[in-house]
Amino acid sequence: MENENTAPLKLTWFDRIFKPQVITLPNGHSTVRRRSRAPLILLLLLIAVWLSLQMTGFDLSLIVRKFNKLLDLFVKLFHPKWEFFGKVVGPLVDTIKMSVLGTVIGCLVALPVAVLSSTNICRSRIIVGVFRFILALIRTLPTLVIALVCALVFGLGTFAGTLAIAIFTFGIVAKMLYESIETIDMGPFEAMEALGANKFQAFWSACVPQILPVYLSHSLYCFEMNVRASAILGYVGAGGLGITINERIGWRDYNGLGMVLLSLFVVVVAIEFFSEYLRKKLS
Amino acid sequence: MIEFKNVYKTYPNGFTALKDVNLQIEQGEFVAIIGLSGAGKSTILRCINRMHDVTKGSLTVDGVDVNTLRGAELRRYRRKVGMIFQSFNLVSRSTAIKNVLTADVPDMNFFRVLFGVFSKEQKLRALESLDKVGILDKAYTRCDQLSGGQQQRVALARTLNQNPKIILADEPVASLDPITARQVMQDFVRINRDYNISILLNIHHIDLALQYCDRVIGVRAGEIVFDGPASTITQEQIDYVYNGTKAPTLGDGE
Amino acid sequence: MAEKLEKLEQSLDRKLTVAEMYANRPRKWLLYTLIVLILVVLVTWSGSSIHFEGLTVTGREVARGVISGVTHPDLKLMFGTGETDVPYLLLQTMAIAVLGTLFGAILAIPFAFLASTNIMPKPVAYLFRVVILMIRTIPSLVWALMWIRVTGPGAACGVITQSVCSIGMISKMYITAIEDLDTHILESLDAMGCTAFQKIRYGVIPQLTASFISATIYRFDINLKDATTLGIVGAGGIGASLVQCLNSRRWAMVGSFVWGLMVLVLIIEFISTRVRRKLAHGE
Repeated sequence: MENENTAPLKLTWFDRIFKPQVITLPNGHSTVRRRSRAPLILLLLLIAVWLSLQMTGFDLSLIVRKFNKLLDLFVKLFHPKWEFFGKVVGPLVDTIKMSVLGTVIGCLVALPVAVLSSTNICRSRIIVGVFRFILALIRTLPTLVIALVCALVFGLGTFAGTLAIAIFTFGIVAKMLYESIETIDMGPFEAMEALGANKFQAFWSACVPQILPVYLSHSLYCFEMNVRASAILGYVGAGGLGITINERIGWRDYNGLGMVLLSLFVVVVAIEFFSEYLRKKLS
Repeated sequence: MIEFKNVYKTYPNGFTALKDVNLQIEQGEFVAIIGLSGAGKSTILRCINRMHDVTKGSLTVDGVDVNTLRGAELRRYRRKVGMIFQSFNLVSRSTAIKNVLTADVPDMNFFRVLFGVFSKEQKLRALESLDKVGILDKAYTRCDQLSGGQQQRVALARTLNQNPKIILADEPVASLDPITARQVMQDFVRINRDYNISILLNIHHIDLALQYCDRVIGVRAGEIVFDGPASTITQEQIDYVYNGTKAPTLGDGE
Repeated sequence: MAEKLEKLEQSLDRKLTVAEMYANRPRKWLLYTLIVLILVVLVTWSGSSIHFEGLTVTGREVARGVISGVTHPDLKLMFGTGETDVPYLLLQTMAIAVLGTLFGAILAIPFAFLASTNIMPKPVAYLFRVVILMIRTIPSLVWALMWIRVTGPGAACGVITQSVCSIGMISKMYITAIEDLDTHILESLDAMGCTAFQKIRYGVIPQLTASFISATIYRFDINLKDATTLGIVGAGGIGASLVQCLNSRRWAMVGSFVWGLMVLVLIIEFISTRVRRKLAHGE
């Protein structure tokens, strides 16, 4: 047997504290075994869970005690009040409109920003860094907080909701897009430049055809999420289905709530099917 | 000793894979089974450890009729027969030693199996098995970090760890590059010689079969058309096994 | 497209001429024009009911306030150790996410196995898929609003909400892992003489654990962002205080909450990406 000389073990801080064990067989051959990380991870996890239980005051008996209330809620949810549908349509259409417009605006803005934040097209590290930092910051802000600020600034209504969705979409689509742009084949781009095209011409004819299907598919994916997300924006006064949902829960009208959720479910499923079909077409 | 007597095998879809197969393989032989894809090579191997049932005829291993074995008896019998696959069949996300240790699992009690508790002796024996195929240093490496040849050696070590009397290898080198394929074949030769384990292997590369194996069995359309020492087979006989098409060799580059 | 051309060649029994090839060129632009057309229609339709009514009277003040708050955060609040200060609230938010994810990950296991087509009969699997889809469609905030009715407000409600919401997505990811199982290993364990139970313990479980853990960590990432909004409806965590400060225009406090949120989310996102990469590709 050939004696392969293995690279020396890369020691992490963990291996320095818990020294790797050397096992020697009766015939003199030996191997090195690193200490397992599992016990430490498990211990940390247990501590985290214990601390979390203390902090949240979570108690399983709570559910058991309130089981009747829970059952009542679910029974009513699954017996939707059909005549309430008339009052759902308006806000539902508003919600869809908000997410359509918000998604389109967000995606349009995301395209140039994504191009500027991909290292293979934009050579300036400063520009890439700045744009990526901004994108990361936007993604950390909860949609509802964005919507709340928008509602405070622009008044209650669908405009604030649309803007919140646009900002949220911008953050996500731009990130997914620059990650995809970095994986495209740069060969055609260089070939175009070698043919004497300027940077923009080369980008337009070599990179755009590669990016476009991915871009559309990311946008569709985001649209799916937005329909669901925009349904709750009404809670902070940004228009759409959220107002109705909040109202129904406030009045304990769970049959009405059941109707609202059922219509939302149908719309979301329909959109998901349609978008999945389109995405399959695109790829 | 493995003995096939007038063995027929018909699959549920009506395809007859083996027709009147008669074979005798002594303990400690190193046998290569050659033939075209679909000729019945795999079926022969899989009948030996009862992954497939024989339709007609009798197949005995060390005097036991394999076809009568049931449940626990069958599992105990399979402990004596190791099997190696073309695709290695390792849990790629576990370390090499964990894969080798699975060979001990059928002999352990329920709670040890459930919690994965292995004794020190078992672990040392697993390490020795890895040492026998020369990859002791990779014992604590995850299998998806190993090359194809190393993974096939882990599979070989796993089989050795169950202390088999027979090793069945189904295209063990088909997904390896030529150099690694030769190394793995040498491992087989060494194990055959040092531990007196019978080895039966299906192989596509006729040159490897002739170079490393003692005995060659040619299968064509479910029938045995050649059976003899590797040194005596002639070009016409090879051509006949391969139905007139060119016999594949390592140089073909799969 | 290529198949269509081949068929055409076969039916004509000769190679196509240049002109014929041109006449049969693939018309991808048709698809793109169609998409653009649909988009234009959708945008005009949805834009019709969304009106920009200018800034509200106080809008300018709010905008200025938010900016000044972010640039001049309340440092005492940011590094204080009391129960209303940023560090404690962030920890509580994390605690909700930890427990919610853990319970969700455990609850998702039976759902995932029941909804996998390679284990369960098709009708059962599809029934459970619909249930999973329903859980996923209802926005987390709506779940929170419903649970508050049952358990009353507080962090415990946040934990229950997240446990339920997480089931949808985690079980969807589990299902993918289950349906991608490598069954070759089971074959070799069978050849080794293992019983069905031993095959599951040493053939199935080791394959699934890494994917399951990876899915859980991914969801933890999302749950943490989600937990920040749950507070808005009264389900514990940082959200409640943030919204209170926004509504009462205490901008410096808003600033410190926003900074705390951003730092926490960015750190967790970074760690989770690294851990998941390690799980997928080993050391």
